[in-house]
Amino acid sequence: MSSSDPSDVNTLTFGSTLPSSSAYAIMSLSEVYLLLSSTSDSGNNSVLESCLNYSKRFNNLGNMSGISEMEKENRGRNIEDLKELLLQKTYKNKTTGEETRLHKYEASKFIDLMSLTSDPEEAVCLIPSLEGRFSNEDIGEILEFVKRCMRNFT
Amino acid sequence: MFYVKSLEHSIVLQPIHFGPKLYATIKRLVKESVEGVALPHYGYCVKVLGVDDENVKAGVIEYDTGDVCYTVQYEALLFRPMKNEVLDAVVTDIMSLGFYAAVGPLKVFVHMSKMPQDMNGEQGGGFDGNAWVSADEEVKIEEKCGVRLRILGCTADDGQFTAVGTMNDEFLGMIDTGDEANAY
Repeated sequence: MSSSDPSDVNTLTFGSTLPSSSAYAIMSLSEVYLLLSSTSDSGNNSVLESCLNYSKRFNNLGNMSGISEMEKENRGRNIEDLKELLLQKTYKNKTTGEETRLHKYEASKFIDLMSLTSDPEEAVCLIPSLEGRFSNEDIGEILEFVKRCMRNFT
Repeated sequence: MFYVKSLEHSIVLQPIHFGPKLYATIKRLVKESVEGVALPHYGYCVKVLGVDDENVKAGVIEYDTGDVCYTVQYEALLFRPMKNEVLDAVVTDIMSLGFYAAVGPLKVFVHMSKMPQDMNGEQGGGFDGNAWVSADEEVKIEEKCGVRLRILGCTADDGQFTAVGTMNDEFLGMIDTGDEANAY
């Protein structure tokens, strides 16, 4: 967190406890909300409650009030499918020409931060690690996948 | 950033807990020990997702007390803010020097020097006692507003994490007034 364990998402370094070889999954706010909202009892866990409220407010699942459990599950599956697509699809690295994929951090940020009106310029500004690796066309394609998923929720 | 990772925790059990409910007791104690706690270098442990019986290693007896130490592997949902990460936050406190915003359990302070220049008084706008207002009065940051900010740095003190952020960048700033959203 502090200088003793430096992290910087611009260079996709997450500190010594999360090296690139380590097995961990980065969750988008939508996934966090679906996970925490299925918890029956938060007990005295104020951290859980604050995370639930936070993910409820800022997730990209659309209006969740009054929807059925089946629709909720459906949206959850849509988000999972979208994330899998974003992580599997390969692109040509703009600088080196090699095959490259979105990092799991970048995929989760695309789901969290982008909206129906976002463009590649906004994506690069909010996720600077994309710069130099993906062309504007590729970022536009990734955004189109995200927007298509969001349109299903409206 | 929210992430799921496998961690290890040691639990010391007194002999009174030994019996058919041993594993249930171990799982309960692991949850009580780590949930809601700020773990150094890992961030806040939001929730323990699962402890399998096979991930409870064989206990080691402490000869002087008779207690047994179990090392347990568990999967947890964690929250750790990262430097330069862009996050949405809810404004909680407005002050003359800036404002505090909450990202879940994390408090982020945005100093007035890290606000857009048309809001911090340098090119108009400023603090009006209850809110930070832009020069054209179109943007008014007050409590319960949603803002998008970037984390500049983070420290851990006394089991709490606090961070410093900025809103003075493209595509950062107020995102909603909080009226239409469910406020904290």
